Amino acid sequence: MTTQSFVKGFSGSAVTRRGFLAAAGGALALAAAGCSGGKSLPGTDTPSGAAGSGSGTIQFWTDHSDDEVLNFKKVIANFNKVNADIKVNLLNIADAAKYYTKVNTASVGGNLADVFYARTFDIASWVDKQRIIPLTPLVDQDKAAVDSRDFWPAQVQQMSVRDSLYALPYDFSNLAVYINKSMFSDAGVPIPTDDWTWDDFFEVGGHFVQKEGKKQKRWGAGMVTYDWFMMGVFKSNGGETFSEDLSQCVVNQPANVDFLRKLSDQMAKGVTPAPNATPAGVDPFAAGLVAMQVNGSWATAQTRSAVGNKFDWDVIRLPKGTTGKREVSAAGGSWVIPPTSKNQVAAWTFVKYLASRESQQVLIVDPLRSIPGRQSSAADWSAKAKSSKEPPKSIEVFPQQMKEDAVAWAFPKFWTEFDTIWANRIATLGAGGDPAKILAQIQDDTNKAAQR
Amino acid sequence: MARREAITGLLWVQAWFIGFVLFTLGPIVAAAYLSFTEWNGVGSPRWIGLGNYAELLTDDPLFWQSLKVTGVFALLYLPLSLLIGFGMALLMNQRLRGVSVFRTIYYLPSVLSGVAVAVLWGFVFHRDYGVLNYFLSWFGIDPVPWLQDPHWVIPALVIMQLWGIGGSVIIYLGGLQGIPTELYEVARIDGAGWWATLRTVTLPMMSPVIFFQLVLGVIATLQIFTQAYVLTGGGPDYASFFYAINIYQRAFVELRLGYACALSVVLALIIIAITGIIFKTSRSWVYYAGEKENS
Repeated sequence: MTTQSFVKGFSGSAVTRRGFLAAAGGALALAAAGCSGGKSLPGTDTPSGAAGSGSGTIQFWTDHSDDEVLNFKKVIANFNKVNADIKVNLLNIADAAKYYTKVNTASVGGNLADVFYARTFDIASWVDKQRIIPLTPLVDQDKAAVDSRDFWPAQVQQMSVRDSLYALPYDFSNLAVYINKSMFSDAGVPIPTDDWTWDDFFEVGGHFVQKEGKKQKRWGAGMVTYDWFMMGVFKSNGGETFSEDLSQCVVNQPANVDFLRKLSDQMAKGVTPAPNATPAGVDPFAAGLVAMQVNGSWATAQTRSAVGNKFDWDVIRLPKGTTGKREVSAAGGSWVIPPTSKNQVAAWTFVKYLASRESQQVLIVDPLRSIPGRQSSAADWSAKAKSSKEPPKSIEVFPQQMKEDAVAWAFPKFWTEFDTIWANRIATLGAGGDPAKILAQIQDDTNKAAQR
Repeated sequence: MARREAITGLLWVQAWFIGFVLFTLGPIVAAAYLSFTEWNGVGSPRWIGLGNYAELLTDDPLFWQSLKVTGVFALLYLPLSLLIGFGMALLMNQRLRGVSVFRTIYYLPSVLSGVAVAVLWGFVFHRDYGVLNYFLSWFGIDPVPWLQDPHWVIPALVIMQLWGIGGSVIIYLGGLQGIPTELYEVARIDGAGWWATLRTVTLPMMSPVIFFQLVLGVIATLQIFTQAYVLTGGGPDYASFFYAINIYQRAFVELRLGYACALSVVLALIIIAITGIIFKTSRSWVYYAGEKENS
């Protein structure tokens, strides 16, 4: 049945094919006319952002826990006391993977928030993808207000690409070992000292393993295997992850393979949980599923909240590697502005406030969370830590490691691709994956991606 | 008058037509164009001709991996979904008390959102704390690392998808209830047993529905994304790296929109080819009662 005969049957007289196509073409033209004249179409050379009037509503995205959102709301309320003409809409996405999904998809759609949270290892990659604007010109205009000399030099290095600063700091973090002191006391195992090694870490963990038949009830030594942390572990054992000029991945080295093999063996023995071995959505340390857990300085406040009075806990320094050194990975959170923001002036006003000492007091110092992104705030933080009765009592471990053991990495522009490849390949460790093959594949896949 | 009616009719159609052009045809044409370009979403797309296609065919092992994963999943899931869906519909087509309760129970999973289902099954498949391994332990079977072992992750996703076939069961049920009862009476009079009746009456009369389900199943299965993305992210070791996840990563993680469009075009061509083959072979196994009467 043709279109013509259908229309004839419907109306009793034929509308010609030409007439139908003309009507359709007219409708298309109307639709196209309605579409043009708004936001600029893809293919234009200039991004569709604008400086804006400096007032109005801005969108603010961050990736923190629900407890921390309350502090962000306090900061916004304090900001509005001085800047009543800028309304800040906060969106918090607690799950990191979902936060990155949001940022990635919004980036392509051209509707990123005016201010959003970025981890410092993302900066180089996001600059390469033209996802964020340089802040140096703005900082130069506002030197007194921003006072970038107060930032950690190592963090400034991570927030900069080709001597241009792309973010203002939120916090600067490293990792330590959270220990369940009650469990150690019950088992009669002494708390390790600062001189311990990774072999000691696994050996001590072995004392706490509990199994019921083939089911694991408790592990001894919780590790994290995400890429940024493992870079430091590899370095402490004599291995590297990237070439010095950050042009390629060199992770497939004997020292790195040896450590991963050791880790895989501990997973097979049940000393260390394999990836996804602990129940999803459960904090294994707070739930008493591990006696020790590697975790970051950012987790002190949420651990305090999750553990409550269940058991006594503290933090100790990370173990040393075969080189005799600790090599603790340090990176941080920061605030960035996309080129598509329609109100970049207002966004910059808010970012400056977020990075101010006043904001650091609310977000980092008062909750004794992580280490502040300002050195002056770090002094406030240390003073509060000394006087606080809240656990962890040894919270000074984090700034001490920052001074003595931290490696302030510069990250390559293909970091996003490396991160995705790493997460995919490392997932088989502890489920039969061969460490040598895993690292070889990560290196090959990353270098291919880097060439693109 | 007739002309006015025709114009009115066409104007009503324009609403759909505009939507079709804006949200379907337009993006398809744009994607086809972008597949010949290099573009990260900023600035102008740069024309590179067949560069993306050459790369995906000759220099991208993840293209073949994603194609293999999707193909294996489809080969496992589709036959099972047809068999189990049809089988369940046969069972539910009985005049038994309480059968409507069963129909509801089996249909419910298909109304849940893909993300919620994936999160739920993440708990079910947990190696040490999941209910599935708990049941298997009753039979002395060691805990299966469903989502950690590359060999088990596809079977796990097949199991998860089969849990939601209630929707197709309802469609089969509708088809079964549309079969004229006279045909069954005739078969019974002729002395046909259960198997002969199924083979000579039920299956031929149901063949159009099965054909419809097969075509839709192929199209949906080759585009599977949500469940794998939420549950495994494409891992472990790219063992659940479906084709649609590959497209997503190229577009939104690596910002290689032109390459992602090339992948999309290839997927569309594969789906069209497979669907075309199914249509072509349908003449030999799909029975349309209406056609028989008219011929």
